[in-house]
Amino acid sequence: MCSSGDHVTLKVCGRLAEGWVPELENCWHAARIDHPAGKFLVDLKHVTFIDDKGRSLLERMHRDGATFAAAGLMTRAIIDNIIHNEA
Amino acid sequence: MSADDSALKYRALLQISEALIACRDRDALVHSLWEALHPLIAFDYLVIMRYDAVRRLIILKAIAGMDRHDPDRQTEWPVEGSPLEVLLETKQPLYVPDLSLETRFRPDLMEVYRQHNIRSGFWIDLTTSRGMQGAIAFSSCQPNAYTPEDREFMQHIGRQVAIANENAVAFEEINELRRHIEDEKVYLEEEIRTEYRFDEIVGSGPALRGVLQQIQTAAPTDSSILIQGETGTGKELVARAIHRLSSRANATFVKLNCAAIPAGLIESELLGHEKGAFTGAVGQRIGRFELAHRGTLFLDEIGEMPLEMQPKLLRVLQDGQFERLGGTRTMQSDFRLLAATNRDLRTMVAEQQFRADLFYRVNVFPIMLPALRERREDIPTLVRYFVQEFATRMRKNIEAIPAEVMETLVNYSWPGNIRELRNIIERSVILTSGKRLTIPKDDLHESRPTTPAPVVTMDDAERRHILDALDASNWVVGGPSGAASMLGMKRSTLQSRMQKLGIMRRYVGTR
Repeated sequence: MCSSGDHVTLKVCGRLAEGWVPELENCWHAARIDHPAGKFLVDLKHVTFIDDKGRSLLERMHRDGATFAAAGLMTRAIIDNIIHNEA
Repeated sequence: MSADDSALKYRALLQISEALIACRDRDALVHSLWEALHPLIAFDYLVIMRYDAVRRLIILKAIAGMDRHDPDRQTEWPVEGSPLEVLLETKQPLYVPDLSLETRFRPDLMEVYRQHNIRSGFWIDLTTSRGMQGAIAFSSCQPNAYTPEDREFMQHIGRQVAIANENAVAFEEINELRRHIEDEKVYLEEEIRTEYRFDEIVGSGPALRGVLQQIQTAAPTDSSILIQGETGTGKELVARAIHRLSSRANATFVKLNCAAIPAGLIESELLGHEKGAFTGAVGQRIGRFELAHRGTLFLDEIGEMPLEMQPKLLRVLQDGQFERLGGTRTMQSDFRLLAATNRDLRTMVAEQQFRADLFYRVNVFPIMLPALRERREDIPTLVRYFVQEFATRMRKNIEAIPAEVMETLVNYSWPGNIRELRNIIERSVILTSGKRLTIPKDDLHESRPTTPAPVVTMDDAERRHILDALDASNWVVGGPSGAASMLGMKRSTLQSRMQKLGIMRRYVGTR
């Protein structure tokens, strides 16, 4: 995690699946407590796989105001789908 | 007892104590005892045996006075009707001054004593804080061999031997665990080197969700699971997912592909072997059964397992016991079996190519994986997943998949299933030079056969045809609705053909 002023970036690498999902969720909650007025960017450029639980967490984060940076066809398709469904 | 005798025995006790402290195996222990005690006590045989409380067995662990490596010697005996049973009941040493008058022991045991001309014996339990571990037996070819003083002295020895024996057992267990860990390390290093990684099950269509539901249901149980599906549908991936979700997840997932190993080597791969068990067995090697202890054993392509190996596998599945090739020690392994096949095992059972009892043992919870053409809704997700994987690996920036490319991929029949899709995508990523994925369309022609049609012999074709007719007639051979009538032949002709082809109704309802 890194922050610059109000901007906070959560950088996620590897698999966002199974046991790593609650790990990110904990980081997310801690970051929101530390930066109550922060603008959050979740960097998913180095994520290789997202399972259903990971996707649900990203949906919740998006509803709470997080934005995403994605690379790779699969990750981008998931993020596009989350944003599209939310809209 | 004279002062000289006492001094001798005191010195012997000291000598034994020193020897026992250094002893790390029971053969050395019994040899030290033999050397130290033989000048003091008249015995012809000295035996250390272990008590297996779970199986109620006495296991011969070390012996002095006869050939230690006699291959014909029985090494395990039931406790019932043995001196150990008396020790367990009375919790006192047992002295039998004249075995010819003894009536408490089993006849087969008495026969062994007679064969070795044993006339009297003294048995001392080896008891420690962990309970009775076994016994030490002093036997003589003379009746009334031991005086009360001898027996008192031997009891002192017995107490020290109990501690030394416990240490030897602990060292054996440590050595066994060390060997197991070393072999497991070699196996896991091989696993890491395998070409493909199996982490994710990709997709969310109804067919796959049904399978995932079955995995969730079956994984926490300890039942055997048979995973069936066409080649390339992800049977190993499912097996690994089941292992990951089971209570054995922290132990090893051990895989053996029955089709990839020559028939003659499967036995050695599964059971392991002792040094010198066969030409080329230069060292001891533990097999997959042992490696999978407390974990999961995955037998891929189980339909290819040789018929002669199948009853051995069945025995291990039933009681968890086996012997390494060239070994006499019965090993115990507690593993969960997962098996996979792309063949129709029921048909193989009917055709006597696969044992019915093994089939029923393996097929406790069957999971059928859908072919990729039966879950086309997952193809776009799979394509994106593989493109992302290969593009990252090949450092390419592929940002889009044209709609017509995706349509072609979705509509193709995928006879090789996900494995074929993965290979096509890998080739496509290699061939793509811009940001839009291009695919080698020539590789996706539907004219290619969807399943390779194997050429079978005339006998096999005839057997299959007759079996189909017998199934259709519920195995009624004669009569107007019988199989013979369906096939347009006489009943006696059909029976003669069945006999020639070895067709018989072994198991009702297997097809």
